[in-house]
Amino acid sequence: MDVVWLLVVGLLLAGWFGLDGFSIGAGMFMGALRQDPPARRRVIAAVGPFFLANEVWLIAFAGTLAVAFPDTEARLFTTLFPTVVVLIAAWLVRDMGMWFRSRRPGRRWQTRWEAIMAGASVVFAAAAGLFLGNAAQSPGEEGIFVLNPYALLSALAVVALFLLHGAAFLAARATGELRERARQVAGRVALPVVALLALLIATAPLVVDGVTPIALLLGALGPVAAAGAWLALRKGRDGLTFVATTVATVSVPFAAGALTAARLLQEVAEPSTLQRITIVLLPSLPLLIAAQAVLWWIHRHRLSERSVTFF
Amino acid sequence: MDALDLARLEFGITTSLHFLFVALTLGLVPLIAFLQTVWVIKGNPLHERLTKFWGQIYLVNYGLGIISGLLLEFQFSLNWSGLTHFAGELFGAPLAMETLFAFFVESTFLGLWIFGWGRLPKALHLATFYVVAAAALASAYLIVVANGFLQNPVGFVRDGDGLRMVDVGAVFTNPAALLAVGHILPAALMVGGFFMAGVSAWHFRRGTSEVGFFRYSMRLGLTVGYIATFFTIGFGDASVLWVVRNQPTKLPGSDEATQVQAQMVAEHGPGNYLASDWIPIILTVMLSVAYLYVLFALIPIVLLGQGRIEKRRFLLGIGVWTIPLPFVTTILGWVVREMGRQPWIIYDVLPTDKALSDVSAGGILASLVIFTSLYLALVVVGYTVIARVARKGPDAVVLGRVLGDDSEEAVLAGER
Repeated sequence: MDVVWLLVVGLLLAGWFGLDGFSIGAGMFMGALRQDPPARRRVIAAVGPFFLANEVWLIAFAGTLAVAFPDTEARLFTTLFPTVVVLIAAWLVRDMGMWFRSRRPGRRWQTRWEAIMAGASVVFAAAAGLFLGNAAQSPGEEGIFVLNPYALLSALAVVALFLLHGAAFLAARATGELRERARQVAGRVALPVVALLALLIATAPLVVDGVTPIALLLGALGPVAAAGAWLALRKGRDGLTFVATTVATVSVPFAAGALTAARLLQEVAEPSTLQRITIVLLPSLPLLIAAQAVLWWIHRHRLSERSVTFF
Repeated sequence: MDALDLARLEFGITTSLHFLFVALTLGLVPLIAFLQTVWVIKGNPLHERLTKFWGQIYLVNYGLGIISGLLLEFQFSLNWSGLTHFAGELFGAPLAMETLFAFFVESTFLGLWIFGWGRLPKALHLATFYVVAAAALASAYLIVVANGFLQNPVGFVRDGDGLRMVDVGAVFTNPAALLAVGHILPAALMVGGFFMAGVSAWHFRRGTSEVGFFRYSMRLGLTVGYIATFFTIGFGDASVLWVVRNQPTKLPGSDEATQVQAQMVAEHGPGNYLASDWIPIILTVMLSVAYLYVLFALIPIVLLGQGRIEKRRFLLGIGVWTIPLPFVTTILGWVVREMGRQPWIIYDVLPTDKALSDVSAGGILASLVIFTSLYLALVVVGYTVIARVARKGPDAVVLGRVLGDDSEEAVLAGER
């Protein structure tokens, strides 16, 4: 049962990385479209239908972690307090950008919120990377220096990875010039991402004791999938590129979880708690995933003049 | 101020501002579900326009609710990790259920609703909103179950340094939760109903040409708001009676309160276990507002017939200027409920200071400053945007528009 809940919590966090990761990446990507308001409008329209359904995964992760691994949550949130505060603040600002941007006409209003969104997306991704890079090192009572080299590497890797993932999403969903721009950016970022992810797993044994083969395997999946994305991109296979960047993105939280799994399993909730939440919470997961799948099915087409907009 | 005061202040500010948005969301959801149902059944374009206009206002407000709610799930772990550690099974489980069953479902289906206009068949599209409405109610219920446990801990045993759930039924049918749900839902309908009436009043004062549109809205809003007032008062009074019997320290001054204070001193050691003296005053203010509505909301209701209210500028003005009143009153209700619980985080079980995380006062102060500024910006910009959407009227609605409309508009408007 302990391992099941470790996997569920891991799945929820990986779900957030894989899904909101491309919303955040697309947000950063708008920074590269400084002179092109209509293209930025299309970026937001492309992400729009998925936006709400993406960010809920992180809330679900936090809620589930608190009940299945209460001591983990208390330990990580206390030792990494400033990182979590920055992460949530960036999240709030990113969301303000998304919700307010289209609520008024006028170039100045919209450009301002787009710029805020792009900036907040970078900070959001960096904070998520910083959190994960520190969490993988199982910080304890003695605390941890949050800006340690490994965590900084992780922050940089996640920022680059999300940008790649967001660009791959736009390449697969947009058309015409925006699609070309997204492909260009993805092509430029892909190899650096391969290098960063490879470095991230290669240096893990320096900061984490007792690295398991599973952790290494999950960690190695990242650079391999990113390299696959680069190949698929060169062949013009947009859908396949996006699948590959998704695999690369979810490998990062899974690897971090595997690196600190031994510690997490010590901190799991009492058997009575796990038994209760297994009956109540677990059966809901297939339903939640199915609802999201329906959403994806409805919006499976590329962006067109007939796409519904709101954000 | 020490870390405890700062953490409490942060909790009070962020939850109160969050609830402003929640109240309107909960109040508008049933009204919009009703309007869309009428549209699907009758096929009258008026009801489609009503659904879209109020739906757009609801959505902007819902967004503000999400943004202000993101922090709250994390705040318990950041500042109050003692609570999840001590009572994870009892307090954390309903919260986790809320994230999965309610918030996750609500957001996903709201995405289907927003981006399903013209894409999904009409009946199916309506069904997505029913799911949203059901999830909103589930969310309110589960949050109040978690809060109800803090007010009236039931169904648990002490086990080592924590609490274990022994009676699931007792936790989920806690009278402290059920009475509160019965009170909060009609209170939210008061907020939503009088908001709808108030916005309609603004348009009548401006001599709107959309007479049929706002006449319908005014009638719906006033009727629902007025009926809801009686339920709000009924469950509110029942809650007060319940508190007097079961949580008397909330309303200091009574014999029961003094008696329980003496018991708690005997049991937990010396200290002041009574809530502040001004809690009963706030309670009185809240009740007075409700009775004001019982009395004075009758006037516009009597004048609804043949649209006589639509010419009474003074009365319409009152309708506009009192839009914030139900909002503020719901916050007063939370102040009574939450401040009245002090010095306990779990009544008669865990003192608030025992739940505080091991975080420095400086850290909490920094987060307090950051989040308070963000929330204030959110409230100011958010209500400005809502007011703008409300003032622009049904013709400026973007709900259900497609990307192509945007480019056309840009061409028509020229580059700004």
